[in-house]
Amino acid sequence: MTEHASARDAAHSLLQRVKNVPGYTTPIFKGKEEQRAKVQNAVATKGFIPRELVANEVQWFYAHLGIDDTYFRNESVDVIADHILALFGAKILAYTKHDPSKLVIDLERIDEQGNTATFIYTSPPGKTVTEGPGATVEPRIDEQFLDKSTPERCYRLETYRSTGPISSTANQQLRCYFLSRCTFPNAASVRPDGTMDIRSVSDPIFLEKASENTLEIYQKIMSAVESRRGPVIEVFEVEGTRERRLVIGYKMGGTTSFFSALSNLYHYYSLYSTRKYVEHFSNGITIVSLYLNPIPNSSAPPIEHSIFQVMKEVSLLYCLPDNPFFSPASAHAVQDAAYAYAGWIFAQHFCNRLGQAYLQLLTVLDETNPAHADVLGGIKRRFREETFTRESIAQTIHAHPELIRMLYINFAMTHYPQDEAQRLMPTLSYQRLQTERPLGDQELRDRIRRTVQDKQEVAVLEALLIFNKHVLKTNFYQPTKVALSFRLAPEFLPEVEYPNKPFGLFFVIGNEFRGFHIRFKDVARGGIRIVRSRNKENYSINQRMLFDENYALASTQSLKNKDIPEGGAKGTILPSLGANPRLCFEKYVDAMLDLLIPGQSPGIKERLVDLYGKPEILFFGPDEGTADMMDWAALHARDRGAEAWWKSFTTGKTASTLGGVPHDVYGMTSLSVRQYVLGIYKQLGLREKDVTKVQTGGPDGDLGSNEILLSSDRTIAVIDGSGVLADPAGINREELVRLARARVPVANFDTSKLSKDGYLVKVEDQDVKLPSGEMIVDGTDFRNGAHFRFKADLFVPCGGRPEAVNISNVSALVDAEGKPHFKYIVEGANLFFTQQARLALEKRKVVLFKDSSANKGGVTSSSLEVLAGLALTTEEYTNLMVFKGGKPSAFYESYVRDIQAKITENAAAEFACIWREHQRLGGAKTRTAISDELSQTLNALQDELARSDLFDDVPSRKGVMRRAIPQTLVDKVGIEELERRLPEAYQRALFSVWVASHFIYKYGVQASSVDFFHFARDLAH
Amino acid sequence: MPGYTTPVFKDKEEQRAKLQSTVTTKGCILCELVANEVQWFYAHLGIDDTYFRNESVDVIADHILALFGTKILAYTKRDSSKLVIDLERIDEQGNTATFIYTSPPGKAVTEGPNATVESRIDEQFLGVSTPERCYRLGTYRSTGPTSSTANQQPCCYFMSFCRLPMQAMA
Repeated sequence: MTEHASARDAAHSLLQRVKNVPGYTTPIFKGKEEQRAKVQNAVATKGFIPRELVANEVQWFYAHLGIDDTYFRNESVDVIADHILALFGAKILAYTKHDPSKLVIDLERIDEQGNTATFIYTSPPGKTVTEGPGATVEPRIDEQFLDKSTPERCYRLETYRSTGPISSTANQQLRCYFLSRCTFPNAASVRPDGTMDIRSVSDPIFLEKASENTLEIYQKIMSAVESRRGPVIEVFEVEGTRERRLVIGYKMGGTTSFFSALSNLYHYYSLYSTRKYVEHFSNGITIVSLYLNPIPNSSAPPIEHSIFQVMKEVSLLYCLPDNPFFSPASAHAVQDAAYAYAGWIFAQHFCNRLGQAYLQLLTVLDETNPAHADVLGGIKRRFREETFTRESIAQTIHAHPELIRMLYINFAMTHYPQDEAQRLMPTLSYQRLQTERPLGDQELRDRIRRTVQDKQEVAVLEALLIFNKHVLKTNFYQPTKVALSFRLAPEFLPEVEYPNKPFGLFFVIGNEFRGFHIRFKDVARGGIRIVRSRNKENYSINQRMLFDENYALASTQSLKNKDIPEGGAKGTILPSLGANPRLCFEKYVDAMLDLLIPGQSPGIKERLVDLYGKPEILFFGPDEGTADMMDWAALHARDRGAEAWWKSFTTGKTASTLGGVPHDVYGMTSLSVRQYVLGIYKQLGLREKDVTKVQTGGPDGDLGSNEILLSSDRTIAVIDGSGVLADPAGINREELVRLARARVPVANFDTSKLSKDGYLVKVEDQDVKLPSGEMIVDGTDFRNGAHFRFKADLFVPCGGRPEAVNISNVSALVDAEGKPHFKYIVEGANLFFTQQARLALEKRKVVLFKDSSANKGGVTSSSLEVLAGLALTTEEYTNLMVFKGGKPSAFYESYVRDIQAKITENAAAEFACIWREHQRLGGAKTRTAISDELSQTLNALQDELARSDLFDDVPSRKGVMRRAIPQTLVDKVGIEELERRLPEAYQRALFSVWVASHFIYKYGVQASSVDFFHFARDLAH
Repeated sequence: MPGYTTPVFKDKEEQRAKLQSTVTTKGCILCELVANEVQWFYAHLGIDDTYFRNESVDVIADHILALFGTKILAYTKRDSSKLVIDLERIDEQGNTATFIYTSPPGKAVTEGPNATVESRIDEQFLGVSTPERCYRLGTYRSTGPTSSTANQQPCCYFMSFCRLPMQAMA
C-alpha cells in the first residue's frame, strides 16, 4: 500500500465504527462445572477455610468475579484451588484491617516450561498503581515477555478487567493477564495485492478467538505496518457507547517497555481499559489493541476528544517509552515529557560550559604556546566534564515542571502544525496550548531568572530556550515516527569551542540511541559512523564526546572534499549499551527522512512547520559500522518517496544490485595515493624498481591490496593485522600479488619464497628467532612496534591504528645520527600520523604528503557515484548502473573509467601544485602546511564563487559543466537535460568547486586577480 | 540479664480463653484450627507480655486472623520465606502503638511493609519528641520462629505515651 492510500484510510479511520461486541469471542469452557466440583473438593481438603464457607468461596470465584473461561481452561485444579485459598487469605487480612479497600489480590503463576503465565491483581480503574504487587506487573510483563519478542519466541497477551466487584463489601476490580507462547503455522501465504495473509501468520488460539471483524481490521493494519517504519495507529468508535478502541501495529522489536507505558498514557487522560490484547504474527509484526473507556465522573476532557490526543501521543511514546520524565509520579504529559527529554540531551551537549572566566583566560594566555595550550586544554576539559553532568541537568528539569511546561509551550507555539484539518477539529494538545498564555522569549527568560536562583539551573533552562529558538524543523508533531529529529540552525555553537560554523546541524533522539549530523555546506557528503561502546564507562565518555567527535570528523571531511562539489559532512550514532546498532541506524535514517521529505499523507506524515524553507538533500556514506547498511538506506529513501534522489542518498551501495561504485574493486583510493608516489619518482628522477618501500596495511585491505597491485618497487616490509612480513632483499612480488588478489593477510605468505634474511612473524607467534639471531618474545608486541623498525626510501601507510605515530614517539622514526628512517612518506591510511608528528618529520627533510591530499580518491569516486544518482532517472539508473546478469553495462564500465581518470587528474594536479608551492617558498613552509592551506583557500574561494554571479553567465556555466561532469554522463543525458535534472544548489557547488580547484591547481595559492581574469575568460571555451 | 524487667501479665491465660472464642465467632478459621492458632500466637511466637497487657481482645483477635491469612498466602506461594507478618495498630487517641513485623536478624529489610517501619516510627513518634509529648519505645526480637516451617523471627515495637512527673527535682 502506498502512503497515499493508507493516508486516506487513516483519515477515514477517524470515523470508523465497530459494533458493540468484543472483537474476540471467549470460547466457552464446557468442563467448567465439573472442574468447579473438583476444585471445591481440593479446597476443602487443604483445610484452611471453614467447611461451611468453602462452597461459597469457590462459587464466588467461579461465578461472580468475572474471570473469563480462558483462565479456567488453562489452569489446573491445583492452581485454581491455590488461587482461591490465596484470595481467602487476602480477604482475612483486609478484614483485620477493617478497610475493604486494603484487599490486595496478587495471584500469579508462570509455568515451568515458560509456555504460559497468569497474573491476577486488584487494580483501581484509570490509575497507575504505584505501590503493592500490582505496580510492577505490567513493567514485568514487558520485560519478561514482550520486549524480547521474536517470531521464534513471543507471547500473546490478553488482559481484561473483571466485570464484578471482588467482594460484596469491596468494589475493587480485578485485572487478569494471560500470556501464552505463540505457535505459528509453517508457511505464510501472500495475498494477491502482495501483502501477507493474516491467517497464514497467526497463532491458532488467536484465530480461534478473534472475530471476523477483528481479523479484517488487523489485516489492514498489518499491511500498513509492512509498508511503513513507524507504528500504525487507528481508533474505532464503538456504536452506542463511549468506548473507543485503539489499535496499534508495529514491527516487533521496534520499541521496548511500550505496553506499560501505554497504560501510563491513557491513565493520564483519565481513561481505563476494559480489555487489552497483544498479538504477534510470524512475519515479525505486533498488534496491540486497547478498549478504552472514560472514568465516570472525572473532570478530565471527554474521551471523544482525548482519544485523538492519546493517538497522537502513542507515536511519541513509541519513540521514547523509557522516558524518565514521563512516569506516573511526574506531572508531565507525554508531549511535555518528550520535550523535556530532548531538552535534557540538548543541554548535555550544548550548555555553555566555558563561560566568561575561560574567555578571559584565553585572552591572557597564548594558545600557540604549547605549554599554555596544554593548560587551556586541561581547564576546558574539566569545565566541560564537570560543570553540567547528566544527573544535574535531569535534576534541574525535574525541579521546575512549571518552567518546563512554559518552555514546551514556547516550543509548541512555533512548531505545532496548524493546517486545515486541525482548524476544523482542534486537538486537545492544541487547545491546551491555547488556554495557557504563551510567554514571549523575553518574558520567559525573565520568568526563569526570577523563579530560579541557582546560576547553574538558569543555564540549563536557558539552554532549552536556546534550543527552542534554533529548531528549524522537527518531526515532533508527525503523527507517526520512530525517533525524534530536529534540524537546528547552528548559530548557537560558541565560537571558542567550534571555530568553523557548520552549515546545518541535525539532532536525532531515539529510545536506544542519540545521533548528530553536521555538514559544512548545503551540498555535503560524509560517512555515518556508529560509535560503539565497550562498557558503561566507555559509553559515558562517548556520550560526552559525541558531538565534538562529530564536529571534528566533519571538519576533516571538508578539507578532504575540497575538489568535489559536496562539502564535508559526518553523522554519528551512539547506541545505548546492548542496543542493536542496525535498528539505531534505521531509526536514525527514517527520522532524518522525516525532515527531508515533505509529508503529504494526513494522519501519517503531515507537512511540518519549516522555518528553513528550502529543500534539503543529504548524502550519506559508509563509515565505521555502517558499510552494510547503505543499500537499505537508499531503498528506504525510495520507499519513502524520494523519487529524485534516493539513488544518490547513499554511496557505497552494492554494485550489482544498486549500481554503487565500490572503491576497493576499482582501487579508487590507491589511484590517488599512487599519483603522489609517481609524482615523487618523476620529480626526483627515481626508478621505481630501485626504490625500497615499507607498507602498513596488508594485502587483505582495500588500500593495502591495491597498493601492491599498482606498484612495482622493492617492498621490504608489509605490516598488517596478522603479523609482519619482511625481506631486505625485497619481498617476492609474485607471491605478494597472489595474496593481494586473494585479499588475504600476510600470514598466508609462502615463506619458502623468502630470501635467507627474510622472515614472517605472526601476531600469535611467541619466542621466534629472526635470521639476525634476535629473539622475538611476543608476536603482537613485535607487530605493534614494527613500523619503527624498518628503514627504506618510501613509506606508504595503508592501514594501522589512528595516531600510530604521534609527537611522543615520532623520534623513534629517526636514527641516532638524526637521519629519518624514510625519505618519502605518502599517507594512504587516515590519521596514521598526527599533525605534530608530520611537522617533526618534515623538519628532518622527509618529503611527506598528508592523508587528506593523498587519499582523496575515494571521496572523488563517491562524489561521482552521487552525481550518477542525481543525473539519471530511476529507469535509466536501473538500466545503466545496475548489473544485468551479474555483469556491468558498457555505460557503467565507461563511467568507472571516467571516475578513475578524474581521480588521477585531480591527484596529479594537486601534487604538482603542492610541489611547486614548496619549491617557490624554498622549503620555508612544510608540505603539510601547504596542503592544509590549499584546502582552506580552495574552500574559501568556492564559497566566494558560489555567492558570485559567475554561475549565471550561461556560456561559462555550460563550459564548466561540460568539463566537470564525466563525458559518459554528458553523452548519455545531454548537458541541457543535466541542467534540468540536477538540483540548483548542487550545480552551483559543482560549478564553483571545479572553477576553484582548477584555478588554484593551475595558478597556485598565491594566484592574483589577473590570473583569475585569464582563467575565467577561457571558461566558456 | 536484660537491663529491663518484663512485667508479667497475670491475666494472660484468661485473655487467651476469651480470644479463642472471639476468633471462633469470626468464622474465618476452620474450627479445629482455632485453638492451635491462638495457642501458637500466645506461647510460641515469643511475643512479650507488654503486648498482651496493652492490647484489647478484639485487636489481638484481628492480629491472629491476619497472621492466619498471611500463612495461607505463603502456603499458596509454596514459599515459606514469603510469610510476611505485618501487624500494626495505632490507637485512636494516639496513646499507644504496636508494630509487629518479620525481620531477618542483622539485616536492613529493603522491601515489603517492614522496610519502612523504623523510619515511620522515627518520623511519627520519636523525631517530634518534646517533653510535653513523647513516646517511649520498647522493641525486641521474639524468641520463636513464626511457624514450624519458616525460620523468620518477628520483631515487635511497642510505643507508649510518656507521662512524666510534673516537677523535676533539682
